Amino acid sequence: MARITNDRPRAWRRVATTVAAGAILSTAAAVALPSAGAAHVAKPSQSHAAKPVALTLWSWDSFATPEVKMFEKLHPNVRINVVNAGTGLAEYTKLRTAIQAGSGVPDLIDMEFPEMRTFEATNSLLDLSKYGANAVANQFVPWVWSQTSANGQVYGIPLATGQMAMIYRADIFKKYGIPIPTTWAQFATDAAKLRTADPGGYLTDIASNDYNAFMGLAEQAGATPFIPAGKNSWNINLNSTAMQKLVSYWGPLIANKTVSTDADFTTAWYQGMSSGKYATWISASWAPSFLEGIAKNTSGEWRVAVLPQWTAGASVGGNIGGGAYVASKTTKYPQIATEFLEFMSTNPQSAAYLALQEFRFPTTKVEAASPTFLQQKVPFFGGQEVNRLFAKVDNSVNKNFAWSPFNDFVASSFLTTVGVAMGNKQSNLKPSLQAWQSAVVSYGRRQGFTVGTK
Amino acid sequence: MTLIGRAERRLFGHLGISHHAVERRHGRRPSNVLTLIMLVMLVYFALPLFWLAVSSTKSVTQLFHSFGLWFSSGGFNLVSNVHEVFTYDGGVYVSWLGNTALYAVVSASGAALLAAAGGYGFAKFNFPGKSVLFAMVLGSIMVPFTALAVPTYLLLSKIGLVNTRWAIIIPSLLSPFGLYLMRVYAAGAVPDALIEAARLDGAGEFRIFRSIGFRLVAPGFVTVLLLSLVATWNNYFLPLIMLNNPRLFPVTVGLADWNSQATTGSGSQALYNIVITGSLLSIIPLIVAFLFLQRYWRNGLSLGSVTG
Repeated sequence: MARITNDRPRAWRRVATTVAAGAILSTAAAVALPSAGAAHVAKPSQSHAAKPVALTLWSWDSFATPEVKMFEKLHPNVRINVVNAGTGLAEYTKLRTAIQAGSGVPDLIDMEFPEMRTFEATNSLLDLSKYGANAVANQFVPWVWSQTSANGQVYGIPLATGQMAMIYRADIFKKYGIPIPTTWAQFATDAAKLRTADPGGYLTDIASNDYNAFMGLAEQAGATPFIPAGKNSWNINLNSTAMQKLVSYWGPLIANKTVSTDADFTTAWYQGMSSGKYATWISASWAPSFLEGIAKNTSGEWRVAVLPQWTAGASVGGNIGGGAYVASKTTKYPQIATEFLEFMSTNPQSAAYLALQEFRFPTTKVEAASPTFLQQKVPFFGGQEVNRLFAKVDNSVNKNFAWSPFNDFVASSFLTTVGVAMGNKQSNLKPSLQAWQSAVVSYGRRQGFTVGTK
Repeated sequence: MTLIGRAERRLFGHLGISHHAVERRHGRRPSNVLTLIMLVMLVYFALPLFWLAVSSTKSVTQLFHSFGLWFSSGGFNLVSNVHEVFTYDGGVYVSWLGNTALYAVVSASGAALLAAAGGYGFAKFNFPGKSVLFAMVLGSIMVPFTALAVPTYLLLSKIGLVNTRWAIIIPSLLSPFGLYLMRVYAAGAVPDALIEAARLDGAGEFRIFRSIGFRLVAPGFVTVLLLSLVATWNNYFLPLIMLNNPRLFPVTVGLADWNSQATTGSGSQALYNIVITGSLLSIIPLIVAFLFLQRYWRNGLSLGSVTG
């Protein structure tokens, strides 16, 4: 299935049901949700308007409802209608159509980080800095804030992140006496070792259909392929030294079938996850609760470790997924919209709910350091405090990593160039990288952007 | 059923094919090679359906931890899956099924009626611009419906019908292919002499259509009805962009939404089993419609080829 990656991608949030949430989580939540939380947030605001106002919010699911309820309680004149208008690509398609028609555009929208520049480029998002959003900037983890803002303009308030880590099957590593890799060099040695020990298994699957996962790895390798260079002007280099380093590493591993290139988020891949075909999943902070849902039978066997490093002893991270809520340029209530967006992520009660009940990795410094959150022991991971590990790597993500202003094309052309070469098990992936770069640059120019290729 | 027989006789008579010839063709001895090819095709088409049926008996864990084409030993969960499909998210699946049925039945009846009237008109009347208009109808068959979805959205948003049931029903009422089919059918099935006779007896044009023309083209009408029924039942892109309110979704868009919710991180919501079971349930009405009405289908599918 060669669909565009963001059709069923990146789980930008880690949502779990109350059913799946363990007893530990429930009690933790009860502690963290004081009913008097309201005291923290009652600040003077224009949303105490005399006339009742109604806003529409497009969510990927109905999970925004509790946060909306908390907000409405403090602002009796505001009604926010939560509508699940579609998830992922379906939502973006609808939004684009509505923007084109100039009607039916919601006030508040659920959006992944990689898509934000694309909607910004069509001037569809509200610049929240005009309504005071910069005042909350220093409450956020710096790299996270940089995902939704540039040059003092703010286009969304981050809600969840996806900092990367290596999720692995401790039992498999133990069974074959393989050390947990801390560098990529060691990872390659381990991968070969595992193949010899278990011909049916792979150390990892590097999905040939997953643009976002590939970009996460590129980010960790030090690549910054998209650099804004002024109005409608970009520097694009998908063929940089860092990108070449990345594909030179994976190419031979793929060609020798030391690692697999199965498409991810497919039935076969889910089966591989629960059957032990893949001993690691290079993934992100939303992955643990996702994994619990699809591979229940492997509960207790998994652990989370810091990503293998390019240089021994370094600590460089990456990010896959993550997202924000944004406000549309056409909203009639920009001030209230801004306040609500700030509220969702920074209000202690709402932030705790997001982190503990909806399993979204916190974006604010305070919540990401909250003891209740960090001390959660997850039985699926053998009682490991996985949040603590993800919090540890939170500051290792590159602050300067930006997304392109035409993300859908970059993602789909990845599939037809690098993705195809990976799927064909080519050892030398550099020509495909060059082809991807050319396709993206010429597309950018056709779209009217000034594109440099430094 | 007599209608069909009559129209068929008339049609074949009109074309100079004797009933005898038709029967002889049906009775030809089957070829082994063709039978084999058909068997291969049968497996090819039936296997996904079989997988769907088998998978709908599995829980999420069983889905990803057992052989795909056979039942899992870990328990038979069809009943609990069905229960979950109908109760998840406040029973929204029931609304989706109802919406799909409503959109499909209303659109298909409307489309078939309009096509019958239009086709009859094209076949039996001469008026200025007839060939230009018909060329436009033929031309619009070539334009895929999906390509028109966004322009249709822009039009409907101007008159405030987006995110209402009308946004699905109105565009689905037009079936250029149905109109073409009905013109061909009406040309063969309604003798000019009969219309002349009715006119001499003093019947108005509309009455002639209603009491004579429509009855004679009824088999073609049923074919167009079924074609549009299936097209609307399976329509995905139009409702996807037209509707924002999940309560108005048809089952196609709803299931796709559940599926993307499951793959975007709410895995522990265990939605895969209900997506699969929901898919199985959603095709049952169509299968039933096929089984009961397949002779109309066969008739309709051969229409164009015989008279075209």
